[in-house]
Order: sequence, then C-alpha cells, then structure tokens
Amino acid sequence: MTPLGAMNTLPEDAEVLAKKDRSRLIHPHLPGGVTDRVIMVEGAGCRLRDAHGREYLDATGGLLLGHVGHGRRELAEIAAGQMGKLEYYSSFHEFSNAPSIELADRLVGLAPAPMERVYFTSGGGEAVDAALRMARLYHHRRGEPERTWVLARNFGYHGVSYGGAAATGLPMFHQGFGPMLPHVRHLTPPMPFHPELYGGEDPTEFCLRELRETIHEIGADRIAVMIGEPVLGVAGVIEPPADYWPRVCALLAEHGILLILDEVITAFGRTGHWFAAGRMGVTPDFIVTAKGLTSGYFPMGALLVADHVADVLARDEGFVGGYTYGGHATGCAVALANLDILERENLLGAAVEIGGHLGDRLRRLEELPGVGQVRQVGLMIGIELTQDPDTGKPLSADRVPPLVRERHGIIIRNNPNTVLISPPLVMSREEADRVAAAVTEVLTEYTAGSRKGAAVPTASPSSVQSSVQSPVLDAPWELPPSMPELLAATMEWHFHPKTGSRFWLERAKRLDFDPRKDIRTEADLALFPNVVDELRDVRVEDLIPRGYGDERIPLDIYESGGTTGAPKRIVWLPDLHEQLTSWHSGVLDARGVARGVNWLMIGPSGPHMFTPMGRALAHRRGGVPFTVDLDPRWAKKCAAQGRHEDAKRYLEHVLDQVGEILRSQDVGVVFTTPPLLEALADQEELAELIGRKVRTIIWGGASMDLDTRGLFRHQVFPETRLLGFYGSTMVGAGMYEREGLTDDEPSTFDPPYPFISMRVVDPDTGRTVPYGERGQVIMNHLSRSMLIPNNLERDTAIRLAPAAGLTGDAVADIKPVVTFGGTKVVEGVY
Amino acid sequence: MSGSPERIHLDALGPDGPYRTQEREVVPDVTGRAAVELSMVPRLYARRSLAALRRAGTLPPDERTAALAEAGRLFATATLGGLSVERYQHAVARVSGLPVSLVREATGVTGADLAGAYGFAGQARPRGSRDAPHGTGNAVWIRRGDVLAALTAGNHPGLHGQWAQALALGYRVAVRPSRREPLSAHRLVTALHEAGFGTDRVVLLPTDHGVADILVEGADLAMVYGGDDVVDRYRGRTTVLPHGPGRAKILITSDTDGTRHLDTIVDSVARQAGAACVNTTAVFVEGDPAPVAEAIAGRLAGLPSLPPQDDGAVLPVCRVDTARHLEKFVHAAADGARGWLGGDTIVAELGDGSAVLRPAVFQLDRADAPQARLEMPFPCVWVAPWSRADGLAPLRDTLVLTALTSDQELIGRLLDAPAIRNLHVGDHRTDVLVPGLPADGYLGEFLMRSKTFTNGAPRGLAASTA
Repeated sequence: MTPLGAMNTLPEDAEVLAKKDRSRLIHPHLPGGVTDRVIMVEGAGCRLRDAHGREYLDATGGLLLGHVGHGRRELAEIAAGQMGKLEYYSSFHEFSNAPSIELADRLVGLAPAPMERVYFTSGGGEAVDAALRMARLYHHRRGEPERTWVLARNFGYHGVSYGGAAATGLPMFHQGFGPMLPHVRHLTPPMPFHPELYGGEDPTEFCLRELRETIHEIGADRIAVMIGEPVLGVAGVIEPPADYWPRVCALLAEHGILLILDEVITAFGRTGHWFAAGRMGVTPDFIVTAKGLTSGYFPMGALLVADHVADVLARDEGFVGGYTYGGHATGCAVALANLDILERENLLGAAVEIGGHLGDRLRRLEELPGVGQVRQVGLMIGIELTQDPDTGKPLSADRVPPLVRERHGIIIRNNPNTVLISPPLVMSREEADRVAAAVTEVLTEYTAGSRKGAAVPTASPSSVQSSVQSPVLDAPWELPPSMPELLAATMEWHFHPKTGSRFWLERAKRLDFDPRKDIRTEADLALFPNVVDELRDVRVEDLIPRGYGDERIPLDIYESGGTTGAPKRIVWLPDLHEQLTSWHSGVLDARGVARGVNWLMIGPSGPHMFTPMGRALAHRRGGVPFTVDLDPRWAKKCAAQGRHEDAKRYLEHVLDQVGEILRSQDVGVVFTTPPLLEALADQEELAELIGRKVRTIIWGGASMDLDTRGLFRHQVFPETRLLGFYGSTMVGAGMYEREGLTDDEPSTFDPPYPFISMRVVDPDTGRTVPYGERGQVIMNHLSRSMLIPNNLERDTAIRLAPAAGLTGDAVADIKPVVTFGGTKVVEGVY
Repeated sequence: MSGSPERIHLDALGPDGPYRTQEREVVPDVTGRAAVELSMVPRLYARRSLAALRRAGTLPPDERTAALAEAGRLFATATLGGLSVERYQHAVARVSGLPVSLVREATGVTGADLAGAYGFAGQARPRGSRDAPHGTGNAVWIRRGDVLAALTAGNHPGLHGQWAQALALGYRVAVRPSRREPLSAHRLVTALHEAGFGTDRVVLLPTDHGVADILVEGADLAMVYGGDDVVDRYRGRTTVLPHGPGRAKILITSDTDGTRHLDTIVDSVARQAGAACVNTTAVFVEGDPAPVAEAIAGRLAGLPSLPPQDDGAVLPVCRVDTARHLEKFVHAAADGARGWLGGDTIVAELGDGSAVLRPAVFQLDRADAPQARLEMPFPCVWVAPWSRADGLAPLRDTLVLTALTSDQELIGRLLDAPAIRNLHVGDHRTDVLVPGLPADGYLGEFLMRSKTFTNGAPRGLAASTA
C-alpha cells in the first residue's frame, strides 16, 4: 500500500479553498448553515488526509465504495496507459472499443445466470433509469404497452435521477421535487426488527400478501417491473429473511413482471460475494451495479441484463437512449484492473473476515440502552439506534459521525437513526479494531443520555366508534386540546378505514410511514408529502371522511389558484363552518368590532372563500352582507399578460359598484384586499365615504408593507380601525393581525393553534428557520372534517414566538414568493 | 435629508414634505460600504403624490423663472439638507465612482442649466407660436399635459437640468431618482423647494421598478432613462420619451489624417470618465484603422488610476467584483478583436475593495461588427475600418457623430440621416454639447404642442394661459 506522502497543501491554502468551496460549490445533503469543510487531498488504503494535514481512517469507502482502497498507483497507470492509447469514443450505434467488450465479457462471466448482456453507464443512478426504461420497453415491444407500473419498496434507495428517485422509498427525495414519475407504488419491505410494521403478521408473509394484493389491485397486466435492493443499504443494512426474495421472484415470474435487483452497493464483494443475487438464489432480469465496479477510480456503472430481455431490446431499432460516457474505454480498462485486484487479493474473502470481526465486536453494543440492533452483512454494518426497543421509537444518529470523526479521526456515516459503516475491503484487522473501539466509546456515551420515550397514546382501532364523538375533535376552537391529543385523534380519524376519507385512505398506501403510529409531534407532519396538487382533480366527494356517514351532507367547495392550472379544491363541511365562524366572531368581539353593523365584502366570491366567509360572519354578527364580486383569475391573467388597460377598466367597474353601495347604504365593516383598498384611496369620494361610515376595515388576501399600512392608518383612513387577516384557502382558515403593533412592527399573525399551525422553513433544506428569520410558510390544518398537513404556501414570512398565552409559531411580514412551482407569482392585483 | 459621516439618509420628498419610510434601500460606495440610506415609497404614496401634483396649480412664468434661477444658485453653492456642496460632491464621487472634478463641473452646469431653463426650453418653440394668446389670432404653445414623471439615471450627475426644463414650461414633476446615485436628484428637488417651488409641484419619489411603472402610467408624460430594454419597451408610446444608450461615433474618411485629430478623439472617448452617453463608443476609419487605434491606445494608457475623490482622478471607479464582471464581459465581447489596450486587464484595484476601470481600445475587422454598438460605462472604444461600400448603416443609431471629413456630399447624407441625431463636422468632441442647441432633439418638442387660438369675443374676455 502506498504510504501517504508529504503534505503539499498549507493550512492557509486550506482556508482559501474552504472559503472558495463555500461560495462556489453546491454539496449534496449539506444544510445551508454548515460552514465546516473537510477538503481531502490524498489517500492510501483506508487512510485519508485533508488539506489541513489531518489524517482520517475511512470507514465508509466514501459512499459505500472504495473496495480496493485509496491510492492504487496501478490503477492510475492503467488509466494513463489507456488514455494514451484511446481515451474515449462513443459506444452508440455500431461503435465499440476493446476494454468495454472485455469488461462486458468478464462481468457476464462473474454474474449469476441468466445475465448475458451489459449496458454501461456513468454510475448507478443512470443504470437504474436505464433498467426502468428497458423494463417498460420490453413489455411494449412484446405487445403489452399498458405494463407501465413500477413496484418499489419503502426505505429503498435507487438514486436521485427522476426515475430512480421515484422508485426510492425515502420521502426526503420526493419532498419539494414533485410531481414524481407516475405509476410507481411503494410496498413494505421485510424488516424483522420492526414487527410493529406488520400488525403481528410474519414480515415475509405480510410483504408477500401485500405484493399479491397490489398485483391484484393494479392488475398484473399493467405492471412492468419491481425494483429492490437485495439488502437495504442506505436504510440501514437490513437483510431480508432468506425466503423473501426467492418467493417474491417466483410471484413476479408467475405474473410476467420483471425484477430489477439494485446491487449498486452489494455487488463486487461488499457482501463477500461477487453479487448478492447469487448468494440469495435469486434470478433477476436486471442487475444494477456501479460503485465497486471501479472502486471509485472512475465514475461508472453497468447494467446487467438477462438474455431473454436483451433479445427483445436488441431487436427492431434496438434500445433507444444511451449515455455519453457509456462504455468509456478508460473507465472499462480501470474496471478490469480493479476486478483483477479484487480477485488477486481475495478481497471478497477479506470482506467476510474483516466484516465478521467488526460485526462481532460491534454486536456487543446491543447491550447499550439506545442501540436497537447491530446488523452486519459482509463488510457493511448498520447500528440502529432507538429510544425504546419496545416501541422502536428512533433515536437520532446525526451526532454520532461528527463525534467519531472529531475524537478519533474515523469517518463513518449515518441515516436518520442508524450508524453506517462500510470501509474499503482492504481494511486491516487493526484498523477494524480502531473503528470498533471508537464507535463503542462514542455510542456508549451518546446513548447514555437516551431515555425510554413515552409514547403518545393513540386510539386503538376498537375505539373508532367512540372517536366519532371524540371530545378532542369536537373541542371548540376557543378551547383547543393539546397538539399531541389532536394529532392522535385526527390521525386515527382520517386514517382509520371506517372513518377516513377515500382520498386519504388511498393516499396512505403510498406513504412511507403509518400516520396513526408515526405522527406524534407537530414536526412529524413534515413526513407528509404536500398533497395540494392532488386536490386539483380529486372528486370532492372523496375528500369527505367516511365517519360522517352515508347521509348527504350540504357541502361548500372552495377553490384556490386556477390562474396557471386547474384550481385546487377543498370541502367545507357544516361542522367546520360552524367551528370557524364561531372562532372568527369571538376574535372580532375581542377586538371590539361592532355587532349589528352591515358588512361590505369587496373581493372574490364564486368558488372562492373570501366573500362567503365574510357573508357568514355578517349573518352571525347581526349585519347585512353586501358584496361586490371580483374574479381574481381574470385580474391576474390581465396582469400576467400585460393587459393593463383591461385590468384598469375592470377595476373601475368594481369601484363603480362599491360607490353605489357606499352612497346608498349603511356599512360598518369593509372586508377587502390591500390593492383594492389602495384603489379606493385613490377615489376621493369613496375614501371620504369610508372614512365617514366605516368603523372597521378588514384587509386580507394579499400582503401589506409597513409604509402602506402606516399611510392607511394615519393619512387615508385615520378614523377607521384597520385589521389585517392572513389566511389560506388550502387550509380552510386564517388568523388576525396581532393587536397593538406600532408603525415599525410588521403585521404579525397568530394561528388558531393547534387546529391551524405553521412552520417557517428554509425552502432549500425544509428545516425550520430560527425565530426572527425569514422563510417560506408551511401550514397544517387538523380537524375532524379536514386534514391538510405540510402545505407549502406561496408566502414567505418571519418566524416569531407566539404571543403571550398562545402556543405555536406566529408569522410576520408576509410577502409573496417570487415564483411558485416554477411559475412567476402574480400578486397585488386584487 | 440628514447626514452623518457614516451614512447619509435621504428621505422621499413628497407633497407634504420629507417622508421617511420603513422600507429603505442602502446605496453603497465604491468600496461596498453603506454610504446612503434611501427611503423607498410604496405604490400608495406614489399614487397619492401624483394626485397632489395634479391638484396643484402652475406658478406664473416669471415666478418659476426666478425660482429656477434661485434653485440653480442654491444647488451649486448652498448647504442643503445638511450637506455642503463640497460634501455632496464628495459623496456623489464616492457613490457613483465618477471623478470628483467631473461632479464639480456638473454641479456648476446644473446650476447654470436651471437659471437658463426657461430660455433653453423656449428654443423648441415653433416660429409663430407664443406662450400666451396675443391679438386676435395666433398659435399658442401649450403643454401636452400637467404632470411629468422623470425616471432619471445615475451615470452622470449633470443630466438633471433636462427635466428642470419641464418645470420652466409649467409642468409639475415627479422625479424618480436613480437608486445608484440618488444624491443629485435629491439635492435638486430640495433646492427647488427652498427656492419657492411648492412641495406639491415637484416631488422626489424613490421607488422600486414596480412602483416606477405606476409613475409612468399615472403621469401625463414621462421621460425615462435606461438601456435598450427601456427604449424597446416605450418605442411607439407618444407619451413616453425614452433616453437609451448614445453609441456616439467618430468617422474619419481617407481625406483626413485621423492622428492629427487625436486630442478630439481621445477626449471624446475619455472625458466625462467615459461614462456619459455622449462619449465615443466607436471610431470608423476609412483605410487602415490600426494607426488610429494604436495612437488612441498610446494616449489613453497614460491616464492615472486614482480614487474618485482625488482631484486628479479622470477614470471611473467601482467595486472590484463589479469591475471584474465588466472585464469578463468586455473580454468575452472582444473575442476575435485586436486589443490595443485593456486586452489583458481593465481593472486596477485600489486596495480598499474598489477598482479603477482602465481604458480599453479594440480594433475590429469590419464596420458592421456588433461590438461597435457596445457602449460601456468607462473609456472603451472600438476602432473599425469603414469604406464607402459600408455606407451609412454602421453609423446609424447614434446620438452624436463627429465626422472628420471634407466630403461635402457625405456630410449632406449624414445630415439627412434621422438615425444620426446630432452631427458635428470637424474638430468637435462628441461629448461637448453646444449651449442652446438640441442634445437629443429639444425637450420642448416632446412636452409642448402648438394650438390655434383666435379670439372674436368682446375685448376683456381674452383667455389666458401659461
């Protein structure tokens, strides 16, 4: 093994590099606030050195590769030699090169039957995409074009290309990136350590039953392929029961469904075998590989394809679509030499030996209170942390790798609650001992602080009937339950088969978690995907929870958006209507807004919530509602298309109607939007009428800056109370401006927590911003009639602590985002 | 306006006087340090200010002439809003990066422009038109509206004398200052208020782009400074007068030895720090352009790199990163051209975060090369060959053309070309305006029109206007 050389990077250079890195590079999975950088400059075997001269022991192989270790001059020379001869030429069409031909032949020789052909890519993600495309094309060519569905598995990882990410069963790779590839269904994988996932059933039986039911539900003749990792890697090194894959394979074959085994992690020795498929006795139709193929000396992947599939793909016009660097001559030469090293140095055997040794030492950690299970397959190890082994409640592993690195100079990784170790296969026994000692020391201390978590009580299925009259769900909005109580009750209600809506029950099948078990805190609501896009075409009847019974209920349907696409719809049930108007009216009483006066709503009605809500409040408070309608979609279209003259004439038309009412009627409350209020202020007569007649102006539906609010307060309507309102149709409600704000304090809003709660997040990371900082608003609605969790609003705001006596976050200084979903937001037009 | 050595606060100047907003924009100096804090008015305030201007009456001509002269005097000499003239000039130099000597010169010019505004504006009056009815029948020169919005630029502090002519003609004016250099517009509006123009006759409304559109749409007429985008946007709008890039040019025909006119050429490129729209962008040479380019480069290479507040400064200064971006842009544009000067770098860092933009001279290989239209905010000139076969096409879209030629037939064709808006023949710098002659047409041509008035009513019922 080449020793690490003398340092040629000075610490001051390291600082310059780090600074440049921070300003120039986008790192995957790096939170915005992290400024630390570890700049690697050289490696040998399992050892690495950074730009400061610090040495590290690599117990991750980078990202589960590095099989032959770092710093192999032999591979560099092979690459240089090939580059000197022919660095690259396209493998499209009839072109080829000797190293790629040799490598393909070598791989087919190593792979289990019936792999006969190889398709080269630049990495595993591309190979996954290619496999999915090939699977669909295979059926298409065979006269079954409707076979497009892809079965994948929760917790599976298949890369972050759109095809691969769609198959990946980890929500973080979907959140904010949707819509994903359609026709993908995620199933439950067997995870014997988590019996709570299977309701008392044997995990394999559960998974097979679920697979059979899914095939039946979708229809075998509509399913193209299933994809899975033989051993769940990123999810925590989870090996399935021995009979799982063979039985899955047989069931799929019975229905003509192809199988892709994603062996990006497991192939080329990581498990002690060339391929995990052979070890498990599985005969897939595709094997996806990368990582160990070149040990990281060249970015490269290889998709191995069974002969019966390849025959179909190769016929007619062949397989359309390739990658520029597929079959790269230098990459293939490096891969061949890398396979030589694996073979020559018996690194597959080393993986078994060192992996077994490391596993033995680390398995003792299971005695620690915070360690749930230590799992080892070859030279990959997962240590799952748990707050309580009885409930499986996870304990975050985030801090473990930094501690191990800082204290011991050893690099390991983690997923949310599992410590992951996957060193190069050349790791020595002594180095493995160092890793074991370091991890043991840190975990012993780290888990000593963990405690058995008190599980939030959730309603049992047998209590469904009583939950229909749940005191929690029926609590008045003025007297709210606690958030945990409400969460438990709403999750049970909306996801129990007898009470949940068709929409949520169907949607639950595609969730990577069980809401009735996994949603215990407000933060857990972030597990939900943002479903509002699905509300554009859902049947509104499907949104009604079944627990309301079969009787026809008078519904109100409200819409949001509709300018750039189909509008999103929500259902207002009578009890929500009653709860909300009662709460609104209570707030208005508390603010001293007069009862018995007439209201004038100047704003959108039709499918919009704005005017109907005002009308309901006027009725409730003993006033007559007057309305002047406005079609915001028309106004926004005019603005977006630059048709300012049309917008101007429409505004004049609206103001004409306002004038007719203000001149002839008594109006005590005006409910409108800031832009319309500005337009009213421009009309001297209307401004004078409002100043003389109207005691309260409630403004909502758009943002208002401090200066404009000050002008309204002091110059335009000095005698009239101004009351801001911030709401969202998508969560069916809103909140009023906090009282007593001075001119330099932005409008601040406290939600009716816990029924409506808000988070303010960094849109790039999804993390909650600190108090006082601006981020994008996420709202949740939790009630008996509606569940809208994790709804990303098109607003930014400053996150503030709640007002005295209230709970949950407040938001201030609402401003529209510039773009939303890739579309420029048109604001301030109504 | 109030000021401290650290930061100058500029309030909006509305119909009710100074207005300090919560929304402020920080204007940095050339080192990037916050130098000015500017109150940015919201849409509602802008609309109410326009309404106030519309309600206000017009001062009688003699009063406004006197007030303009007094405002000019105050602008050029007085302490206004806590800023002495020296401190104002220093601040403008630090913020805009223009040499302080240029700012001083512009201060004097603006003062003189205001004193002469009524006379300058009157140059556009058609023969036979009068400002007021006279006798029983004549043409009366009347305003096309009441309120003008002036969206000004920050590339030169001397351009504000322009919109002041509208005041001279009786307009009420809403000025939106440049956010890059708002000090000059603020000082001028302050001077006008102190000189007797009511706060409801001229207002200063710093705004973002969205509210600026409200000003253009809400006023009767608007003059707008900007780039090609502005010109394209308002092309064809009879109520908006856009001022875009000047793309000034010099033409040297074969009967003239260009090197004998080197002073004129070099000054045209580099005076005004090369930042004005009348600075020469391209020099066209009939014959070999290389000797001319070489000679210009030789002269420009000697200009010193000094901070803007230095009395000897002649070149513009900006933040280092801005300078590097400009350099990258110019070098990319100059790809394929021969660099006589500035081909390696145009940036001379001053060590405090600022950098001098050094001159650049590039030689092009054909008259219609697109780079010849590239106007930069520093002395940057493109020297290209020109032949009779190229015709006038490369010379069009030009605010000022100086023709060094004795070819009378060519001069006649240049004079007839409407896309060449000003023509000098012989030794006349492109950046020197001739007092009393139009800079880009007369502003009065845009602001006013003639109207027939005959009066057959009994004496004593004559209308009056002004």
